[in-house]
Amino acid sequence: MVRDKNLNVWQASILLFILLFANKILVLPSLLYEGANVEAFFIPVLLFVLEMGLIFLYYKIKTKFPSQSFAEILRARFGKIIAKIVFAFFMLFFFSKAVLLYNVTYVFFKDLIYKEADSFMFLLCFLPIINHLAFSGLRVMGRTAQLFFPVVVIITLFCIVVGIFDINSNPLFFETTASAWFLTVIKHTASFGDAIFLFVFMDKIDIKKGQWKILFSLSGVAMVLVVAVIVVFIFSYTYTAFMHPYAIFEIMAYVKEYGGLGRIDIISMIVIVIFTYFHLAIYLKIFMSSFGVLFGRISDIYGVLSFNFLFVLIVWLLISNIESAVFFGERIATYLSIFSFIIIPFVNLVLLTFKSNERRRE
Amino acid sequence: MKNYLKGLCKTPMVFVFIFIVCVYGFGALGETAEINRYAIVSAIGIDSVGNGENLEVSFLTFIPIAEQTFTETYKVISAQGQSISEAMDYAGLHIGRQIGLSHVKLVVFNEQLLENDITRCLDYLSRSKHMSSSTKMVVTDASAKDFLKVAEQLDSGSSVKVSELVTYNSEYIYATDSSLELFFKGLFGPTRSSVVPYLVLEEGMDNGITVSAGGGKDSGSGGSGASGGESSQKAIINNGDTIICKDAKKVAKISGKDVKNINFMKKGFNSGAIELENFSDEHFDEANLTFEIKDKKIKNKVLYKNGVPIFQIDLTLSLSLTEIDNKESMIEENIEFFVITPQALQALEKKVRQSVADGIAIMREYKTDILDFYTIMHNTNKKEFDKFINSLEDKDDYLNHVVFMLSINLGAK
Repeated sequence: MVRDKNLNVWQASILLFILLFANKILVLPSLLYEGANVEAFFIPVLLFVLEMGLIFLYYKIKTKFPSQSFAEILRARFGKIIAKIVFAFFMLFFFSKAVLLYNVTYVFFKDLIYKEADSFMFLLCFLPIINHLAFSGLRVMGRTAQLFFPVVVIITLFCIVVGIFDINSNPLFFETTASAWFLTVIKHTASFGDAIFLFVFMDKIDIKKGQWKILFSLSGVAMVLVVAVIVVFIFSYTYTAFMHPYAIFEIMAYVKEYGGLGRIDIISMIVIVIFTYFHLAIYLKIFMSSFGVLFGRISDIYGVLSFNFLFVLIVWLLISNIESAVFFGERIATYLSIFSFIIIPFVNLVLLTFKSNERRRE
Repeated sequence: MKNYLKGLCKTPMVFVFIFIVCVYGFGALGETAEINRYAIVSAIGIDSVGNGENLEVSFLTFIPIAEQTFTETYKVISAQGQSISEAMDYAGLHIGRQIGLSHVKLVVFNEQLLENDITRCLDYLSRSKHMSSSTKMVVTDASAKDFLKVAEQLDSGSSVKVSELVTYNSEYIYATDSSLELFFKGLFGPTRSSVVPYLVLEEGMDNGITVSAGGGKDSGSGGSGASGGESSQKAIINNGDTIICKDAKKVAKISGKDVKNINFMKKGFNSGAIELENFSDEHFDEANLTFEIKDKKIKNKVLYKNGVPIFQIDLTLSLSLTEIDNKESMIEENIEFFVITPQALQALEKKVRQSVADGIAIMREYKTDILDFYTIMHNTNKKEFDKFINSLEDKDDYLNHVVFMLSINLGAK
């Protein structure tokens, strides 16, 4: 079993920063617009406020139980069974997100780059690398993310800034109804809630007093950037968003075509590739950790093999096009968001009412 | 060496790389080169045939074959089918290649096709992930196939030139951009209106793209601009004429001059010229003056009075005198130090006011809000606007019930 070395606050914050982009910058903006018209850009704002609440809960739990893992806390307070159920949900939630994310990215590259590429080829490009990254441990993943972090930030900012200059629409406001808006929120809640990954690695993250601002600031910046991508996309493609399913690529394509800057849409692909590798690797790592909690102290290899087997099976058999990915994301994964936005906050709020072990010993 | 190999064995990614190279690298060697599988299409022409049930789709293709000159590889191929995709399949059969749409810069429609809803023709193009949304759309009076044949007669970049001509239209002459994206934005927007440039194919002209100065036939068109080739007698003429579509169907054809009038009210379009004819003041005697618009600012304000929207347009123009045609004498003053006299300002204001009124009259006549006043009125006060719209018998005729007020502020630059 690989013994994970701890992450420092910067590495954890960067992993969170990257994860906050997952499932949000490709197909989601177009779906949000379809459901809630121009007012759709308030949806990520609302859901990110809730996600910030999850990070705040993490802060409270971590300061109350600084050295314990989330599994240990749950076992001590609720018993083994509840702890296993919670971690089974972690596995299911992040596995579903991994399948959804991979599928959307696969269809994106197949549509726009290499239409003859088959699923096997894509799996071959992604699986070995994410397996390697996840197997190398949290610290390696965090340090690699640190290395790519400036590239990701600069390219994302570039996409947004360049996209802003080409907004020339005058959209029709106040056309959506409150019910349609809330229905869209519910449909796409599963795309959010990634911040709960912090609970899985609670004991592996070293955060000293005064360092919390780094975690909050970086996650805040990531949220602002995601909202900016969605806003720029919606205002660039008012009324035709449904024809343009790949938001961050499309805002660059728009500029490429109208702004005369040459072929710069390729830049957005770089960031999509980097994001995809990290997102899948983090999801796999969460799966491995949760697998360990669920099945006791067995080798990580079983967790990795299970993930790979299930991943290949589901990707190959169930989801292979954008329609089924959207169906999966809107109709099935939505129910899993109950875990991230209801069960986890509830469990944490209950935990906050307990006295910590240390205090009890005193 | 031994240590190196040991180190290599500890790096699993090396094996992944070798595996990918073995599986796909060698596999790729056995495949036909893409250059031999695709016909690169640079322009598409769509005509209706029979009773309008079938479509004839023509492709201006660049077939990449070695040892040919660049110009010789351009061909127009066409095929008929009940749909665009069927016609494309047949076209592919004719030339034994797949039709590649990634480089399409222009889609040409025959005017007759626009008598009916053209979304039938656009659906395939809108769904194609390989078609760029910046592809220009134009309408022609002749068949689209003939249009492409004339384009083919020109040099290898002919189709690009036609699309550039339309781009030039949108940026410098008449603000009618005609990309597929903007067509769809207009179609799916609240006004359901879009504009498409109208290019005429004329016989007996020098072969090539000819740009007419002035707008429309009645404003006097002269044959200036680019021309090329020698064999054909047909030429593509751009007068700035424009087709207005509502619900993807032609409702009117307006001249370039009309478009110019409408563009006075359009934000973000700062070029153009105003001509004063037979103008006399202390400097001129029955002179024809041309003022270039150097800068334009528009502020819109909507008020509702008794349930009726009052659309206030504040137009600020910075003008510069660029041409004088003085019938009696040569001007003695240096034009660079010329100050526009109050009489000239008055005459210019009258001219601009008339142009704006003409522009509004056109939109009212055809019930097409191509400048999207709808959104401005809606966003200003949704409740009042909804009440106003619902009070109308014909909801499409709202422009005739809106009161337009124009305030003009002219200055020299």
